[in-house]
Amino acid sequence: MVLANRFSLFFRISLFAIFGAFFSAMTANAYAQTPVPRYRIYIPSTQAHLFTTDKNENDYLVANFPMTYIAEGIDHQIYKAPATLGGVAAVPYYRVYIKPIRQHFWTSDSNEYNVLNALSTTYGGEGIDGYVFLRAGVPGTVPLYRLVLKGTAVHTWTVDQNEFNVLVASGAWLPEGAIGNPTGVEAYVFPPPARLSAQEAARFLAQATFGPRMAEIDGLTGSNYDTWITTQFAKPQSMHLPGVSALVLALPLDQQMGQTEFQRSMWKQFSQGDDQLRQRVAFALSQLFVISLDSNLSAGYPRGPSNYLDLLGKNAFSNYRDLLDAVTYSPMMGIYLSSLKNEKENLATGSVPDENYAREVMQLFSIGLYQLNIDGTVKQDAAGKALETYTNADITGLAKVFTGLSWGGPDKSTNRFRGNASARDVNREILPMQAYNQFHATNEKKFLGITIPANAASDADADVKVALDTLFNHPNVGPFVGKQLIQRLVSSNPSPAYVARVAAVFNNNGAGVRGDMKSVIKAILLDVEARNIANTTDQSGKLREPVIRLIQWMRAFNAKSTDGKFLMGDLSDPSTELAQSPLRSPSVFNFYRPNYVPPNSLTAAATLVSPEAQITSETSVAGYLNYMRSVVSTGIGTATNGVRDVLPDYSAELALATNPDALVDRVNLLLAAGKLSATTRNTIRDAVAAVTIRSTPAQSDTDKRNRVNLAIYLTLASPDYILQN
Amino acid sequence: MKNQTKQSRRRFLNTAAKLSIAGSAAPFALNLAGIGNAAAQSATDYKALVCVFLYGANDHNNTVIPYDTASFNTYTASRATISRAAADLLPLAPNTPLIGNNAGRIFALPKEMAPLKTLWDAGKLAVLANVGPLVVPTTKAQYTAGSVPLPPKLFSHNDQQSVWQASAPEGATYGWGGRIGDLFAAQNSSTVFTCNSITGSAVFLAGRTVAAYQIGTQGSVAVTGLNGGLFGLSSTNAALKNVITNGGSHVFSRDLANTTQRSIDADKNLSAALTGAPDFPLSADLVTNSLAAQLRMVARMIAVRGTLGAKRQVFFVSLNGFDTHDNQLTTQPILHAQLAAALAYFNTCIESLSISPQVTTFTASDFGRTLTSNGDGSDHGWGSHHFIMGGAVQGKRYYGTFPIIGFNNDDEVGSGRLIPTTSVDQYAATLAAWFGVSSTDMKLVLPNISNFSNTNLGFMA
Repeated sequence: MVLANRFSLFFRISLFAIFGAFFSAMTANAYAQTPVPRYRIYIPSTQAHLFTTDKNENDYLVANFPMTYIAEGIDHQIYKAPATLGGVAAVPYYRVYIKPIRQHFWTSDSNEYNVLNALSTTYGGEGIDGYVFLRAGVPGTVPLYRLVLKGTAVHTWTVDQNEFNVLVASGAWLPEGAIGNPTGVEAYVFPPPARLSAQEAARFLAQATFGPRMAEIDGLTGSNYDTWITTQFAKPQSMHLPGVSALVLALPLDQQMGQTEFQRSMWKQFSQGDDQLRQRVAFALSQLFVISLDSNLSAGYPRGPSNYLDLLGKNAFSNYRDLLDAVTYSPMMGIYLSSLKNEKENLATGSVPDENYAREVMQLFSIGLYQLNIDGTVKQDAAGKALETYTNADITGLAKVFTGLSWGGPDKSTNRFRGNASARDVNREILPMQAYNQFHATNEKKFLGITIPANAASDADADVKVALDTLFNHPNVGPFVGKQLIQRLVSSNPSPAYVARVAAVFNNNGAGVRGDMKSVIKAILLDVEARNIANTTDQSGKLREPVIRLIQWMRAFNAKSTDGKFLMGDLSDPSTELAQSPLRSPSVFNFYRPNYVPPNSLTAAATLVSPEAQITSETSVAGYLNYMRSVVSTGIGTATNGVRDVLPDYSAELALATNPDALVDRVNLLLAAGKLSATTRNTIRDAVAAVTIRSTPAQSDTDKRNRVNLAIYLTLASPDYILQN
Repeated sequence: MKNQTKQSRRRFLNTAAKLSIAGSAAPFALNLAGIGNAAAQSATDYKALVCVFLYGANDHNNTVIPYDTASFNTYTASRATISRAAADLLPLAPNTPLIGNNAGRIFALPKEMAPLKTLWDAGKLAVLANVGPLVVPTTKAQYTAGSVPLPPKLFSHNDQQSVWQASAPEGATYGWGGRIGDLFAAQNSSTVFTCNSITGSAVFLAGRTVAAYQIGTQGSVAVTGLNGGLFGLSSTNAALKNVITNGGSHVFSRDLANTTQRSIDADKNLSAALTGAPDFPLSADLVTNSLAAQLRMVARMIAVRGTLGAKRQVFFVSLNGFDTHDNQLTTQPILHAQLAAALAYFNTCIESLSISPQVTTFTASDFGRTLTSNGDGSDHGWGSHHFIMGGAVQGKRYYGTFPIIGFNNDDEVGSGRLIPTTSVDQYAATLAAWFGVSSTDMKLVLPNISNFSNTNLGFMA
């Protein structure tokens, strides 16, 4: 016990050293006003309790010393920084160390704290642990009871009035409230967050990841969204470039040109990456800042697109301005939208700057075609006509800015600019483009109300900075980008109020920062409209896109690659595959448009949009059903001796094969967050139950596997599942 | 979104008011009445319209190329770094020489399009000059002054694709191919085969009542689990059918279930019918030509029109990759060769069915491109030149009016972006009239057509 307590103290210090800095950084920003969970741990040997707001400490102690520390979960929530609610200021909640019994003690009474602290041989003041309300009446707070074990210095606390009553009635514990409060009430705190249901957890994970594994659903039900997101923000990025580079460079020269390794890497990292939130957002960003392998990038740049997707992943958690910069300077984007080697006007030949990137960076990557209100609705003039964001003159003006950029390398020679063989850096496809001012326009550049005056010494980098700063600060960006990210993760038809809430966070994360991606992602996922599990209107939800459906299957059933490299390729064929494959959009306009309305549909009649419906057709629905039928039963990827490379692990499902209800409910939870309609669920259950399990072991194994195949395939096939709501 | 809908409805109201002597009839009632009238018409023959969409915007300047000495010299001087050499050009001699402003001018195809010159010489191919979206006839003075309504979002790919196909920018929910389909669907025993895309979703084929049917180059796809059972189990057909056609309560899942049901039903008919279709094999040089593969499926469907009970069909196929901001002199000739080879192949297939006069194929694209070079490519423009092919085409002729080549003239609005002298609506109306759309129904198909005095350009017999 002594040893354990020393450990406790040790870890408190070391864990604070590690995580304290992180949390104190957080207190400076938007999360300062959010109460944090306070965990209660029972120490049976002393009947004492340890309280901590440090989830890592809680998790470490209960996992590593299960005989000494017993997790009791979140008892309540308190502020970690000074805060005011309903006009009432929270008061410090002090922590004291009781040296003789090696236990901690807390008090909301500063006088008590000061008195104890003065008795330094017995007590050690440890400062402020958090902030609580001294008196009743602050909305959302509940009484925190304090008790003392008769005749000892052992204290405990609880927000459970029943527990308090039972302990007092036992006669062993005495109430110890603050003067002026009801008996035993020391302070007022926030109750613990309601425990998430498995359905809520699965539904959240379907929005924030490529789909949940059962362990992740279990983990989240015992935690909360906020903690999950914070943990995800801290996870190291699963990268593509290092692995792809190693594989590509190991190949003979003449085989180094294609995208095979990158394609495999995408399937691998999207399905296996522990940084699921980052991977999911990176995939969403790849549909906003589109480059496509079905283009002039298909051959010749085996590493560049890997690096591009890594940049999207990296900047998924940075700032939108950094993202815009990384995209603009990427030579892959430079090739895709022909800004690489773009030259200033040439009076001799009459040629003028290429307008491609100037147009699409405005139309697709930042501000869009129409002036937007913060809620994403289009601004109109007095006559009801939509106000446009730019004219063609703005494009020709901005096109001059994006001149003079080309391949990175050690010098800025004309040969290097043009990509001539004599001056090609071996790493040029993964280096940012650089400025060659001899090819940069020097005349006046006017766009979006900005004028960069003519200057014989014009610098491309300086001009690009002006342009990107201008775009970044345009009021459209928040609603334009925010709404599309909502559409990719949560809902095709977010309410204007939802868009406005997200755009407001884009505009200012609470600490005066514009474009903070982490805050935007958090605002999207934690919005009341995203979290409303009862969503029953047609306005909520979206169609799961085919790529997500496949990866969701891989994750739900822990699919693993025998080879380790996930030998999967382009799955774009609508007749036989998915009608979609990562980074293989047919054009810079993505697989589907954000405002796509399927013609002659109920969706159109309801005046809703459904982007993913643009790749849903008579052909693709059949192609998907046939493809997944094969995937579910035989796996996916290149086959060796008739066995596919990527195989599922159905062991948990096979264990339920004799119980069709349990089997179907598990699959329903994993894939559809429990949202299959009763009709669909019962149809699947009955079909599963109709498979007779025969007697011999071999027959029985086959029959069980057939039940599992059937439960999974019919779920994946159902429109109930394909709707993510 | 909402805004765009409102805008197009307002424009439609204006048009309806102009058209209707009675004045203020509700436009939707007008539509329904029009559809009803058309349904009362009957077609005894077969006709098909095939739209070949060149995604990305084909550079018309290097497609139908000025060839008379004066124009050619200006052309070369205007886009020095991306012009084609005279030696690479195949002049198209017309049956009827150009007149008026265009008198004395002659145009040529790049050599990669040699198969189209053969069709031209045989009188099966016509060229329509400088066609593009217009709301009303528009002069440069009007464009500059902003005194006439202009098509929305000029020079933007996705929007101009939509305007070409549907007279409205992205977000439009029906196009003129689909609206033609609305008028004739009742003539077909299976309405599902009225409007067919072999290249994915396209608003062109969406009607008010007719939905586009999307199939692949190999035809329709059967849901295999519905017939043979699943995983070796024979008892699962009904369960799968029930699950995939149960749309639940949300419009998204209900739409999906409806699409699935349509897929199953149509496949039953089409798969059976196609077993009786000629194979129309693709020769070695065409096997990697995606447009030829799409047109092969169109030809096979047309071949079994009788089995399918089809009288009037609209098809949509495409070739992608024309957005030649870069490497135009490398990229565009490859695409041109594919386009020309595929069209010639399709013409051969259709002629082998002896229904060439009943099938008309035409090209469309996002927009034309700048005459100016950006170094090694061209940028977004407006008006463009297009091809019409078929046995009913009054071929070996130029239609419309070619622009003055060069800059700072009344035909262009900067960098050689052409103001169309013929509207897409006039182009479409000429095709629609041949197809059988009556002049009174034309306004249902093309809401702006009444703004143009000449509604038949004369290129169809």
